[in-house]
Amino acid sequence: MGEEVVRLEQASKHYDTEAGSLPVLHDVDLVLESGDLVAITGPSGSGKSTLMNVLGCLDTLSSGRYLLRGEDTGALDGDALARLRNRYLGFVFQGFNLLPRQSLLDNVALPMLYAGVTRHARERRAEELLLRVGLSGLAQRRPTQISGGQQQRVAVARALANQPRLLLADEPTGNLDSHTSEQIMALFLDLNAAEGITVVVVTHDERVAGYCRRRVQMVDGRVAPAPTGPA
Amino acid sequence: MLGALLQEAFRAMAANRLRTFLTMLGMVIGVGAVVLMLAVGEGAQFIVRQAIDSMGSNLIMVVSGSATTGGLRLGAGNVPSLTTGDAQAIGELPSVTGVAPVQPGSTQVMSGTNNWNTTVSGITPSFLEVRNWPVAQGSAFGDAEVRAVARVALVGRTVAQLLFGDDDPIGRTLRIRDSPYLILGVLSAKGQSLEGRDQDDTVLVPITTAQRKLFGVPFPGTVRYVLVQARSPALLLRAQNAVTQLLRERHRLPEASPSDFTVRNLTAIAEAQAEATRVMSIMLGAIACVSLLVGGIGIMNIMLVSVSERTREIGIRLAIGARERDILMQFLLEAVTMSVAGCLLGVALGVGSAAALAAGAKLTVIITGPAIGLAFGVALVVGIFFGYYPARKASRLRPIEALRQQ
Repeated sequence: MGEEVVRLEQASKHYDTEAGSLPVLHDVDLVLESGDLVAITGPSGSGKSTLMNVLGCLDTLSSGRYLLRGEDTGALDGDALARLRNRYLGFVFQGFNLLPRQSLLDNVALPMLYAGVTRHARERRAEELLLRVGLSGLAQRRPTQISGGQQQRVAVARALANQPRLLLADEPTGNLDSHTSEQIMALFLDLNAAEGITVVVVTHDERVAGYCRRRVQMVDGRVAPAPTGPA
Repeated sequence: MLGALLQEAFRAMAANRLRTFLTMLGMVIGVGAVVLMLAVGEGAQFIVRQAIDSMGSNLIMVVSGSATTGGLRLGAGNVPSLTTGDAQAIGELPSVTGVAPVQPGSTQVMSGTNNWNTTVSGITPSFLEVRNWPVAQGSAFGDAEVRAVARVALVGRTVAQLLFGDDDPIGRTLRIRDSPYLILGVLSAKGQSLEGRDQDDTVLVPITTAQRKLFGVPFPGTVRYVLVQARSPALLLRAQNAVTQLLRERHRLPEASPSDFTVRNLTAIAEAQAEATRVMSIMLGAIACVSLLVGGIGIMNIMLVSVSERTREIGIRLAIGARERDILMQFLLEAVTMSVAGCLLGVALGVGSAAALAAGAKLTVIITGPAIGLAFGVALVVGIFFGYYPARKASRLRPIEALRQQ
């Protein structure tokens, strides 16, 4: 058993709309430990993206508690949440979300800028990370000059910049072909195995979910009872 | 951090060069206008100050009376109501330090083959003190020459230059109305008067000489005007009243009749003009500042557009750990960079057009450090002021909503 990274207790979220309160998460209890490799699956509207946003400290709960490394996030203000995202979390998005005007090197170095790392150290670490994801020769390229698979590798490198404890990937292979998808998933497996980073992947691709040791199935804003172990 | 943010600001500005340039243009024109207007205003003030300094301080001018003969009203100075005796009496007033009776006339002066029409004024030696007008070369004439009705003269710079060129005029002879005058000295340069007259285009002779030999006067001892110097600026008004009262008594004027002379407070007139010039230059600067304001609004406009265009970028930055103040600083710095860059170009434009105006229109323009500093300061404040709202708007975006934007 590893150290506890994430604990959700009775987590609920509802949005206030004109038509009244719209519930999206219902009393979700979830514990993730360091070294976990989890797939969150479920149909559209099942609340998996909201769960992801909550785990990523991008959205707050309506009720219940979310503890990240033992710290109650409900008590934190915007800047404190930004700090948590910066230090302990890494995001990989479906649409890559790189900054188009900046070089790959600057993209990867950006989280370190907000962490207050010196320019020299930023650039050195960014080079290492690009090497780690197999793109060391492309540091000065722009995101528009490389393929989708390469962009997603850059995004992974950026997510790793401040040595996060938790890597959150929202449909990371959604815009990639199956071959490239396999490469990205292989990268996640490797990071999980070699560095013990907790990886959470939101997907509705069964093959992608198949890589993960644990699966959290969402249905109507609740965690469905777990099927028996890894397939 | 600041370096990286600056680099980011330049990158954002470079991404849309035409837009950046057009946005900055408002600032460029505004700052250029401020610099130019301040330079013009400063130049105008300089000229007025110089003219005031050259006039002499705390001066009152008493001009002899006007006359009405058979319905024809003649201007001031046409009736010989003032005399050297009046001047002496004025000199004894406690509020007065100096008094200088003057009998001017316009005539042709000659030396060798050169001639020139200029103002020849009969004066006493006190005139040079009252007007604060020292002799630059040679020496002035004294009371002895005045008593002796001597044919001696002091020449102004312009006259000396026109009649003698580079030669030394001292000891040479000047012919005025066919009589020879010995040149004793050359007056120091005074420059333009407030009305724009060349004060150095003049010849000074003893007042007795002017009265008796050169122009002739209707009655012995009359003068056209008397310059009176008050003891201090505070005593100007008192001196003015004392002079009026004294002269009315001396001229035996009944209560009801108007004065046969005019008293003018030259210093007050000059200061009013200086004040008018100052107000004018402040107004010019203020009008120019309005264009800075318009430039600032242009920057705000574009920054608002930029923020909404880059909502997704802001979302990404927030997701990877940017704090509110990081986003605020980034956009604020972009606005300030734009306005400072615009300001630099504007200063160049202002200095350039001021130089062109000085060369082309022969206008006195003075560009001062504080004027450029002011333009810079205002531009910086405008950049921060108009950049703050869009930057704050950007920093207040919520990460999930910003990320959702396509």
